[in-house]
Amino acid sequence: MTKCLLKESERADVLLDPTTAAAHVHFASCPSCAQSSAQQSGLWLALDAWKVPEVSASFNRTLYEKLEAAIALPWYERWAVAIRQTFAQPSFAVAAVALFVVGGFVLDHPGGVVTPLWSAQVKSLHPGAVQVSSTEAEQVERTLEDLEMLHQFDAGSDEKENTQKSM
Amino acid sequence: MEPGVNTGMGPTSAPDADAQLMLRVRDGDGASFALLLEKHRSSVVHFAYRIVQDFAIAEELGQEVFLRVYRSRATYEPTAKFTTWLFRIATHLALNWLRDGKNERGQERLDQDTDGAPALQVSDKKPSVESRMVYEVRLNEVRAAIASLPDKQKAAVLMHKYEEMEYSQIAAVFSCSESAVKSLLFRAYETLRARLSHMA
Repeated sequence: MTKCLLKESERADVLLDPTTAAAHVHFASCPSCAQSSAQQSGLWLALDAWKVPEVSASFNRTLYEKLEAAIALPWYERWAVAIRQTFAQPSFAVAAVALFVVGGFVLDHPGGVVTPLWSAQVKSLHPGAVQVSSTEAEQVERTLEDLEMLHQFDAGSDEKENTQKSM
Repeated sequence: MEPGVNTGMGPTSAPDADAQLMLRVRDGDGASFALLLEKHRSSVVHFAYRIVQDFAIAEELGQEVFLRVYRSRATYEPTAKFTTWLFRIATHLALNWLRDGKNERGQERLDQDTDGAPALQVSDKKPSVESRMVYEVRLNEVRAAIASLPDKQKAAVLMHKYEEMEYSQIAAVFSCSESAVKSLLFRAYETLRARLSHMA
């Protein structure tokens, strides 16, 4: 069977809503999707088999008992529950960890000037080594880029040679 | 829900009827809470049941959903459809229950006749033992196929198929785009079609 040429999002549209005119037009020209659509109808029926029982009669009573118990809690315990629920969410946990790390970092550098540890070590070893102007830095960067380009060029020509030799 | 936050979803034009009821709950009207409970109790419990596949647990989770709704009444803001918010809480609780590994008992029950649920009511025409067995086998296959889906796909299928929620509403529950929901559903149904092809 020929493969459908539609993008996934377009296939999703026609298979999830197979009753639209666009879907009918597509199914007429695409046996693959027509078959999937027929299978999907069968799947709906299969899923319909899963009936669920009625909610038990004691549901409301138990809920109201829980509500009364929650209301009867002292304010600090209610807050504790609310805070537990809040921080149980992954996004809050990530934010809390991030805040902790940033806070610790800020407290560790009260002056606001952040000097990497390695920078101090390099300075102590070679006092003149880290005094590089922006022009020099740019030159070094360009040279590295040129070297990389040359390397790629060499690799490319090597490959060409190998191909010719093998032929 | 936590204190000091609203439903956490984008603004909507006018609050729906349920949101109006919830606003009354916020103002201290207990009868409105009872109405909301009556209206949505079954769908929340059934949704949770199809995720955790244990009816007793599903009822506990359903109660926890409504407890959270009640607890957060004071800070409620109708920024989305009420049911979107409700199912966001239900999805969060049910999937967390699965992730926390509390489902061992429930998974064991997949192969058994009972799942902590009261027996389904049958009509006067009692089905034969054979047809009942065929039904049980098919049901177990459906349940196992849905249980095998990734969490998000599972919740999306249950909201789409059984709760008949619109794509936009499911998207609001997951905080994603409608096209992302369609893609999620497309892949989920593709998997289910393959797994249950012999039943179609």
